[in-house]
Amino acid sequence: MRRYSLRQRGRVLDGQRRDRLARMVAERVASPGRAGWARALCVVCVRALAGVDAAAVTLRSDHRAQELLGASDLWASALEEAQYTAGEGPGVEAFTTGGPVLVTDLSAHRAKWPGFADLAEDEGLAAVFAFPLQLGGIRLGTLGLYRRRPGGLPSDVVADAAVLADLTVLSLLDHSGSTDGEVRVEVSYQDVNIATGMLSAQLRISLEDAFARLRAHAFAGRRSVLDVARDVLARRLPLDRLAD
Amino acid sequence: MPAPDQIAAALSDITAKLVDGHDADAVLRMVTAACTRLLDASATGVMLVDPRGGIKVVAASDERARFVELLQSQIEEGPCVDCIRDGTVVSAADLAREPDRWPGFTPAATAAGYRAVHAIPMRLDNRTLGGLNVLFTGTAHWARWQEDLARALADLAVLGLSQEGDSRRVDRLVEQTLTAMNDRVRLAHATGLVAGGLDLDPERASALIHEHAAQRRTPVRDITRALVDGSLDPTSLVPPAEVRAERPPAG
Repeated sequence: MRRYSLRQRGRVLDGQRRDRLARMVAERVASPGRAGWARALCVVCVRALAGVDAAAVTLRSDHRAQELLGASDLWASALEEAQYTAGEGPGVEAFTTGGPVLVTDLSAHRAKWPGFADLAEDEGLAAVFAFPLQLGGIRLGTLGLYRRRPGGLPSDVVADAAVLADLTVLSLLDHSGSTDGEVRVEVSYQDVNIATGMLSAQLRISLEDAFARLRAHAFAGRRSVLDVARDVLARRLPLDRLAD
Repeated sequence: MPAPDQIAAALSDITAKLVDGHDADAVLRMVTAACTRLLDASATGVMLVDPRGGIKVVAASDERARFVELLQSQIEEGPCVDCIRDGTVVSAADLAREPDRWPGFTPAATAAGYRAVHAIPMRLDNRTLGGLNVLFTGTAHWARWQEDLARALADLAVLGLSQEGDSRRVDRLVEQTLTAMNDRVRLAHATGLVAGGLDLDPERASALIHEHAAQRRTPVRDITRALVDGSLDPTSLVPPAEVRAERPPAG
C-alpha cells in the first residue's frame, strides 16, 4: 500500500512535474536496501536539475554525526566530508533549520561558514543548494546539490529539487515497511567515531571535546577528519599532538 | 434510500474508529462495506495513486480476484482514471448505453457482470489521492443524496489513510534509519573508549563489547550506552583470566 502521497501538504506542486520525477526515480533507483541506491538517486538529481554538477544524500543526527548514503561522484562526497570536518555548512544548516539553504555564490558567504568555505573553495565549489530530508517534524538528513560556477537555480529547478528531496524520503519510508534490512550507507565515518572514543579515553576528555580536537587538527592541516582519524587508529599520530 | 439511523450508525462507527486510533486497513474496510450497503451497490473498491506512477487497489468490499483485477485493469483508462485525473465524480449509470466510453474497461466490467459504475475522487489539499469505485449489477442513476453520501465516505477514507501514514510507518522509518545510525555511532564511540582505555586494537575492543553483551545476555545497545555515559568502566569488560595474565608476576 502506498499512502505517503498524502504528505505533500503546504507545497504547491505541479502534478505532472512530480509524476515525471517520480517516474525517473522509479526507473533508475533500487530499494534503499540495495547497494548504490542513493548514488543512483543522486545521478537522477544531476540529470534532472539543470545547472547542478553533483549531488549527495547524507543522513545526519543532532550530535553532528553524519553518514553518506550516496553521492553522484567523488567531488560531491568530498564536499559532504568538508562539512563534516568543518562542522558547518549549508547541509548542516538545512538540517538544523529544516528549510532549504540556497547559496548562489559561496565567496559572498565566507563569513557565515569560514571553515567550510575554505575547504570547499579548495575543491572548486562555487554554489551550493541544500534541502532537508524531512517527514513532519522528523529530520533525517539532507540532499546537497553542488555547482562549479556561481549562479542561482531557476525557481522551477528549485521546486524540482524539493520534490526530489521528498522522493528520497518516500524511498526511505517505503523501505521502512520492507524486510530487506537496513538502509545501505556508502561512507559511515565510523573510524572517526572510534578515534573520538579512543581520544576521549586516553586524554580523559568528553566525546564532544575529543571530536572537536580531531576536527581542529584536520582543519589546521587542511585534511579531512576521516584521514586524521585513520592516523589515530593506526597510531601514526602521537596523542600529544592532539592534547591541546 | 436507507433509513437515516442506518446511515448515522455507519458513519459514526467509522468516525469512532478514526478518533480511536486505528489502522488504515480497518477504516478502509469499513468504508467499502458501508458504501456497498448504504448505496445498495454490488461492490466497492478504493484505488490510490501510486506516487511512482499508476494506480493501486488498496481495499475492496469484494476480495474476489475478478473484481480486484477489474479495478486494477484501469491503468490507461476507466472511470477511476478519469475521476483521479479530473478530480470530479465520474458516473456511468448504464454502461450498455455508452459502450465506447472506455473501450478496455467497459467490456471487462460487463463480462464481470456489472452494468453501472460511479467513481468518486478522494481529495486532500487540492490533490487527488485516489478514488472510490462503486459498481452495480443493475443500472444506477444516482440522486443527489447518493453522491453526497459517497463523497462523505470518500473523505472518511482519506482521513483514515492520512492518519495512519503519520504514525506507524514513520515510527518504523525512525527506528530503521535514525535509531540504526545512532546505534552505529554509539557502538563506535564505545569501541574507541574501550580501545583507548585498555590500549587495545579497535577490533579487539569491539569483540570484547560483543562478548560481554553475549555473556550477560544484554543487548549490545545497552552495553554501549553504559560505556558512553560512564556507568560501565572498560576494565570490567576484560575477562578475569586476562586480567590475571596481565598482572605482573608476584615477587
